[in-house]
Amino acid sequence: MFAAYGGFPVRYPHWRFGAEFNELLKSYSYGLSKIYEMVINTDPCYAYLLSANAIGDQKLVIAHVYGHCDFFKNNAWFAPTNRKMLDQMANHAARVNRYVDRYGYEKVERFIDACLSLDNLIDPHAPHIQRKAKPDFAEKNKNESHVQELDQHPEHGRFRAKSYMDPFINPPDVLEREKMREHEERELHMTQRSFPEEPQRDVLLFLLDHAPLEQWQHDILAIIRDEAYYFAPQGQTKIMNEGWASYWHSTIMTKHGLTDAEVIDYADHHSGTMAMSPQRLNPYKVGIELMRDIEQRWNKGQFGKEWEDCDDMDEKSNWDRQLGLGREKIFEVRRIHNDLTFIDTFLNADFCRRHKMFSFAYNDRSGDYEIASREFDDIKQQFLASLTNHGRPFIYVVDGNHHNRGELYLRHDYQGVELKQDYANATLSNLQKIWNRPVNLETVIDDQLSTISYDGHTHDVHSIES
Amino acid sequence: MTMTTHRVLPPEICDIQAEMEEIAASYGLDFFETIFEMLD
Repeated sequence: MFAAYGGFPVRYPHWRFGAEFNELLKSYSYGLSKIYEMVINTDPCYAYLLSANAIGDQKLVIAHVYGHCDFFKNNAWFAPTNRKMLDQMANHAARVNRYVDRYGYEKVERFIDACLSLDNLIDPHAPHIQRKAKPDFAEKNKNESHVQELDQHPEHGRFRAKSYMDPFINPPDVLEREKMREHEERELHMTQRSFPEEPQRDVLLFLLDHAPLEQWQHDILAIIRDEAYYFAPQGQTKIMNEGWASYWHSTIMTKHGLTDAEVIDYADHHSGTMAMSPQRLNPYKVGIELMRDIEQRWNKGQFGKEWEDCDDMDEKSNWDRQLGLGREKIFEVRRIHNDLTFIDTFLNADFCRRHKMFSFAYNDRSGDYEIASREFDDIKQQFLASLTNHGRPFIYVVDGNHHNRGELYLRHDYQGVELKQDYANATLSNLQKIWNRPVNLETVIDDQLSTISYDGHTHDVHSIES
Repeated sequence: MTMTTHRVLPPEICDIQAEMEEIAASYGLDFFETIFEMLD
């Protein structure tokens, strides 16, 4: 049950933990999987060992756990996470239990279901950057006086020009149109009272700020968002984190930890964990191999302009400047990168060739996924696309008062992949439960800019005239 | 819902943990205090 709880001893009550437990139990009892290690990002770190494991496996797990603990503490993407999450999770559970006692299990669970289906609509970069500038009153006053100054000069769209060039640089009809446009924009803004001022990626925060929620609903949504932000860096660094931990268990076990009697079992279990099938990328394998590749390249000086500019393959294959910077480099990599920047920066053509990587695509004729290309650029592009926002769509809140009727208007940032219609419909249904007014989503359907709307009863799709 | 674990590690596992922690630290790994618990 610990695994189903994500390693935390206390969680709020919800059926999905039971479902996950059931899946893990079946997978374990049918011999399809075995949970070796579980470690949680807290201070102190808590890690769990299985009493059924042999001593050699316990060593492997402990060495692996120390790799994870180092990563949690030092990787920049984990820096804003709550290191007292064990207490926080218990606190969340106590609060949800109180609401269950007061409002009933069914009602609370239905609301948690709706919130959980939206828990990826957050802004994972928000803890690291300041999205909105803090109000600078001096600057604001300066701007206001500037606006007043401009208002006093009706031709403020005018460029400076010599008098004989003025009709060409500042055509009167263009100036007039510009004036009209600005006037209309100002009028529109005044009448519509749209918000937010800029598209907002953290949809859950927008709902917390503006949705008509009861106090208990507001609190549950805040809990779900809080936990989503806590777990987000684990999704952003899966390849690096597992690669780093595997690199260290491998280093420690092969150089220090193994007795003669344990070597065969260790090799069997290690290679089982690292095995990669053609059907899926194994984050453990990609991570450890890329870490080792970086270490070797920086040890031999296979980086920088001189290396990049060398066209002689024979010279490159024997290139060894004996710099010995590999270990230092991988510590730097684990400090600053996430999976996306890690792959973008360090995956190279030689690595793809050695590991027989390929891109894949669906073949309509065979009705199956097939190898599409072994070209480095294609592989890297598909790999990065799968890591960007975990391959999920970017959704922004554009307007919380759409058509001046209090409707919610979201925009899908279309990047070549259309939304799954059933997922989009289900998400809108759950959003509507929280927003309590019609919700709309702008997206692309069959290459046509469209809006999917849900008013609480039916889903409608309208194409938007360009 | 609250889970319980066996908090006390067997002595041989404690020894392994101490040894692994020392080796990891000698390589420059830097971590918060790590508490291992045993699950059935």
